[in-house]
Amino acid sequence: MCIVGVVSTSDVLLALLVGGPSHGYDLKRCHDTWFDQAKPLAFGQVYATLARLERDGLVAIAHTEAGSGPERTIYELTPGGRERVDAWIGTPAEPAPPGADELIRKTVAAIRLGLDPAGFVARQRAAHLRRMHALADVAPSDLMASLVREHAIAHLDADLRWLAAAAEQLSAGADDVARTATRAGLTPGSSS
Amino acid sequence: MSEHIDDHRPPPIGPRTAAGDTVLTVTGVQHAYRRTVALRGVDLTVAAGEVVAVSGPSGCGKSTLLHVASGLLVAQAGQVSLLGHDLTRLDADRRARLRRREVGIVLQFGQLVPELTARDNVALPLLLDGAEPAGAGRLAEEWLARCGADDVAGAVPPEMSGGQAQRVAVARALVTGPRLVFADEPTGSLDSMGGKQLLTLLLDAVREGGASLVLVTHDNTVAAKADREVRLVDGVVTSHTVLR
Repeated sequence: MCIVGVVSTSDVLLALLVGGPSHGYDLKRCHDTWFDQAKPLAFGQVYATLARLERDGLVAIAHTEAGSGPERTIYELTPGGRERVDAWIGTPAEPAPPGADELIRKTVAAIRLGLDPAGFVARQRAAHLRRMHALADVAPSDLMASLVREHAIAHLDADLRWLAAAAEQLSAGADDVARTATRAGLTPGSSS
Repeated sequence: MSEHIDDHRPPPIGPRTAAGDTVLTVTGVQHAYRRTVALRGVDLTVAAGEVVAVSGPSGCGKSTLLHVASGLLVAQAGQVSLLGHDLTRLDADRRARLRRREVGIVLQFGQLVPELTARDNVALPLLLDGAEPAGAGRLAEEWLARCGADDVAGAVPPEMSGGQAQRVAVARALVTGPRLVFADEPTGSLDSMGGKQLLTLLLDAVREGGASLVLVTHDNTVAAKADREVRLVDGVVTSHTVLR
């Protein structure tokens, strides 16, 4: 399961280059090590992003290496690229926008369609709790793994609190839920 | 089903219920405080060696369920079978003896005897059960050390921090080698790190001893540590979730 959410590939690649010049293959491996619970970077995405960063003057080609395989292009940060890294770390991340989460979409859709939203909320609660249980069982290997785990647990906890509140509101407003589905004309069997 | 509790049995040493046996069965329990209904027909079973979290929002009836299941409170309707004893057929004295010998209870604020030292608080259930004082004191010190509270062995509760008092309360609950432990928001009065440490201590001790644990909590991160979660809302069980 992906724990680290969507991050800017450009900014992450620039940050990885702070340690020194590197080529696409090593940058991808380093990314996957740093963020071992995130979705691994695709090679195509790495090379396309590096080309864009070079075009924008944030990285430059240091040299190329010829080996037994294809020639490797070694990239390095430009002063502008380094400024961009400092600005990236120095700027708070944008809090996730409300309403875009799959959890919200499914709940809203279940209410609008009259497809047992309370059942969905209960199943989701069980899935979240099991995920939290699995995370609690694994001892983090180091500080960074611990921080990533705590972030995941805190987000699951926030979702679980929301699911509890949703269950309560759905129970209190069961009639409204039924009316919403009927008004929308989307209750199964109500369409012409 | 046994109704007899021997007055002179030595304190239990280890688990005596085969894995898979049921140590607690709550059936159709109802309870109200005047007009406020706390439990509306609750069923709950706990197997030997199982850790069950009873979760739910404040006022959902989870603490009442713990009090009824442990015999601290007599249900107004329904049945409770605790370690083979029908609690509805035991008088207060026999329920107390059953709790003292077979059950450990940890409440949110420790509920230690304020005049007694930590050592004497932990030794108390053994002494009440007729244990020899020197042996009870040694066992109390062993459990205080195991719970990381040996540094306050000679202190009385008003001289302890909340975390220290809770560690002493856990030692007192475990010193008799209980087959079933009830814990009501055991980390509720502690900070995040202290709460995690205490919960780990409690879970490790219970699992190592093969005992069962009923853990009442409103905290999702605490409930997630259990083998199974029972969710209570408005005095009714709304879900059972197997976590392990």
